[in-house]
Amino acid sequence: MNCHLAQKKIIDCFAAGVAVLPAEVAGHQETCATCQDFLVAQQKLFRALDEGLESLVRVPAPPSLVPRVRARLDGGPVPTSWWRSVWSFGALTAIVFLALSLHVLWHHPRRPADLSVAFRREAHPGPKAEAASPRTNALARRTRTRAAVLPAHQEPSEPFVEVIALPEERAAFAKFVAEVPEKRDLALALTRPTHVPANEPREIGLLEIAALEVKSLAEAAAE
Amino acid sequence: MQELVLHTTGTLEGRASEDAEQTGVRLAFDHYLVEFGPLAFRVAMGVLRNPADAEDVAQEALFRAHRKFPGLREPSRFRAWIVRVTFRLALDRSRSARRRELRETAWSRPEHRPAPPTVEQIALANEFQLRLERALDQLPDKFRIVLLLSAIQGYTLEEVSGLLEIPLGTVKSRLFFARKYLAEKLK
Repeated sequence: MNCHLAQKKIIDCFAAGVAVLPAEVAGHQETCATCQDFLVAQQKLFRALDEGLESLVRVPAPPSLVPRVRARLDGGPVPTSWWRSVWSFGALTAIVFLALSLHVLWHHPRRPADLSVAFRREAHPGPKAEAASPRTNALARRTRTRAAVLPAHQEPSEPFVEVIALPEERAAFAKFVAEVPEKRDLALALTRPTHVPANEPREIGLLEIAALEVKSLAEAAAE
Repeated sequence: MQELVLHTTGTLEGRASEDAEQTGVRLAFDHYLVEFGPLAFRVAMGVLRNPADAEDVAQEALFRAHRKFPGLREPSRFRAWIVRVTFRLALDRSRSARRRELRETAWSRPEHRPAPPTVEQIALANEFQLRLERALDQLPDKFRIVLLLSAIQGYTLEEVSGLLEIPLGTVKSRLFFARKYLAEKLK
């Protein structure tokens, strides 16, 4: 038997907790100083290993263990796990936050009671915009924003009035319309463009003068 | 005039018998609590190596044992159950503590991390014990529990086999592997 095999067997014996070495190993280590030293070192190592393990587990149970379990079973103050407390707190926080959010959204002060103002952004002015008046086109080109105001009695599906407003005037106009409490239709009429059919010729009305008196300047100055 | 109706005594008797049964269960459990509570603590201590954490884990395991007590009346079953559950709870706690430690270390700046122990510090500390504990942490769970139970005084391999409900040969082979593994790490 060589030293390598003998030392391997020595380790196996100690690992298995066998007290007595096999005959061939015992015979070899009697004649081999290296293996004798190896045997002594392994004895020390495994003894330290066993003592170390025992020191870990052979600790007396604290006297408070049994009373704590009894108290918990009796419904006394229970020391809960830390993660349960964290989860409970997190759930409660989420519920409170949700309730507050719903409250704020339900009682939102800026929601208009009887007027809805819609703003549409136009990326590209369509052909409709090009056929409009030059002033309208200029405004549209500058703002690219249209404000559509619905009167209170008008359903959203009906064609509604569109007013073009500059961005800096948009807020003021919305405020103007909202603050006219009883004459909203009048306010809208003020902003409603006159409907002129495209194909009908424009009529130029005659100016009628009921009476005309012609005087010279000298006579008017004397008077 | 309102007529009062008195319930029959049969209901009261039923309630009294329930109370008596619960008292009996509680007394029986209390006996197991005193006998096997220290075992649960030692198993937890072997994994966690912290008396406060081990006590918490042992308490939790014993509390759960009370809930399952009707099915664990037999002492051998109760003992095996408490060992398994305590070991699992202790492992979970150990791993979560390690994850928390890693998270805290990852969040903190590298220069604030604790420096590795110097040679002098290792020499001053209980070097072998620290190395043993580190080696134990690296041991697979099924080998670790066999090693810990065999180290607890009074438990033969046959008793360990009964506690873990595995064959005796399996206990021997796992113990052999575990001791050899540790010896290799500690040499």
